[in-house]
Amino acid sequence: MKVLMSFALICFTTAGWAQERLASTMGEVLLRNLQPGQTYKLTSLLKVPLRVTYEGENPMTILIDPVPPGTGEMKEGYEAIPSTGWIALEPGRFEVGGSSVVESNVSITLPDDDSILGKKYAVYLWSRTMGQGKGFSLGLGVKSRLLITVAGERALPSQGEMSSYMDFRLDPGSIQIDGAGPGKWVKLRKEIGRNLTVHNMGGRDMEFVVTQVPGSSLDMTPPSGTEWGPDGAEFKVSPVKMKIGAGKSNDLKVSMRIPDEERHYGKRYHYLLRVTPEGTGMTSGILFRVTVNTVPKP
Amino acid sequence: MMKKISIAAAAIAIASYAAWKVHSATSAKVDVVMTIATVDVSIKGSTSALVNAALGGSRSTKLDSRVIVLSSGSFNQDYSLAVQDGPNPNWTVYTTTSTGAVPEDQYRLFAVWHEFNAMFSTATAEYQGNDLLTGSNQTSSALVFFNNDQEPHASVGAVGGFNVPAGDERNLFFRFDAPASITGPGTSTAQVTVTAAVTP
Repeated sequence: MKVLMSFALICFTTAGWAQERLASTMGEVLLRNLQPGQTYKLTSLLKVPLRVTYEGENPMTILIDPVPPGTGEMKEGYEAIPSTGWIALEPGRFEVGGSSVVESNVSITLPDDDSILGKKYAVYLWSRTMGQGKGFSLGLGVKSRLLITVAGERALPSQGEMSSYMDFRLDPGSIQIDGAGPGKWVKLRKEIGRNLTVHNMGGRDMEFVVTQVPGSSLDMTPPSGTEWGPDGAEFKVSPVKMKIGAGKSNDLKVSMRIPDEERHYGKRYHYLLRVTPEGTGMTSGILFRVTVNTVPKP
Repeated sequence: MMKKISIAAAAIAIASYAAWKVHSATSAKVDVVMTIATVDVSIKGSTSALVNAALGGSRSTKLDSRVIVLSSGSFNQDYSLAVQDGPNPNWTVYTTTSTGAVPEDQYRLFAVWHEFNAMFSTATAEYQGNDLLTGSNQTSSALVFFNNDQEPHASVGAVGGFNVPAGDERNLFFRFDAPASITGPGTSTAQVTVTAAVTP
């Protein structure tokens, strides 16, 4: 007797070729200097929820849950969050008829316990689709990584209102420059053949400041296969400060030069530019990431 | 008199300690930084591939039934895989061992990332014990969901499901082990989930 597995890897209901896509904002987010005993509602603090985009033709259930890091998902210097109960997603379940963007409010509540002071925790927000077809189906998932750093000390009592902004986007979010010569200025826009743009997607005019930041200042590690660029590198950014209207965009001109020293040939460096919007009682920002491959030693 | 001075000194010391405690509390602001804006994955492939196998037999998905997974974000990504029974399943997933007969009304699934080449297909023997799908997410590596012994076609970096550069495609194939026997219908339901996360 033979058994038949209707092994339709995308879904069983249609034949031919199809494409489905799932994407989530917050690919990786650092949350620094959080205080024990406090609740942080990211949507109200940053004026933007977690957004999950599904593209496809099939009715789907989209689920979002906090999960601890699995094997291979740990981040150096961080430990798994002791309880996923610290994270709340509201709502965490959606029924969609096809292509849709769903939004969920993320809250983080830390226990009021001095033992977590100075600790660093990793947790993922797992968004995934659940098909409604028969037989085997293939679901898609994306995991947003939250890296939480608890402040080393208790905060002063009067912190006042906290508010910032993250309803903006950098396009592209990361670039790679090949064949950069130490000592020579490189115009990023010319190298990648497109503009570097800040899009203010929110409903309010906002002022932004662009700065180059060392990765160590954010306690980050460089991506695999790269190292942090040397301190002596120069960046020229124009404009450094800009006001962008609601729904508007602004292009950046960025040039950079790596010091003309022998040790910088044949390297793969990583640099960070931070775009920081106005904030009250807190700060926020999105990183623009630049990987530079320098020319081999002559 | 001496006693009063001692009490006063103690009071001053306590007040000083309290003041020190207040000043030692941090005034560092909360800082939220999006280091990578999105995580983004797409799939495309056959939507009608059928796997049928004799009771107790095995079958690999056909070459033209591969699933193409596209790293559609802006940063390198790792893929994890998990399987779960679908709605109203007739069989349940078996994850106890990767070899031997599959118990009655259960099935076993394997997955491998594999080079796509019209000259060959994935044989059932290419799926190894560490390619067994379970109910928990397992992140792809040079061993997991990859034929690390027999893969002759390309390096794991080029075809594996981890540290996949933005814009790159990978090919995913499955092996299905049928139940040794069944007590009901000869079909069932299940879902395999491919999850992307930015490479740590």
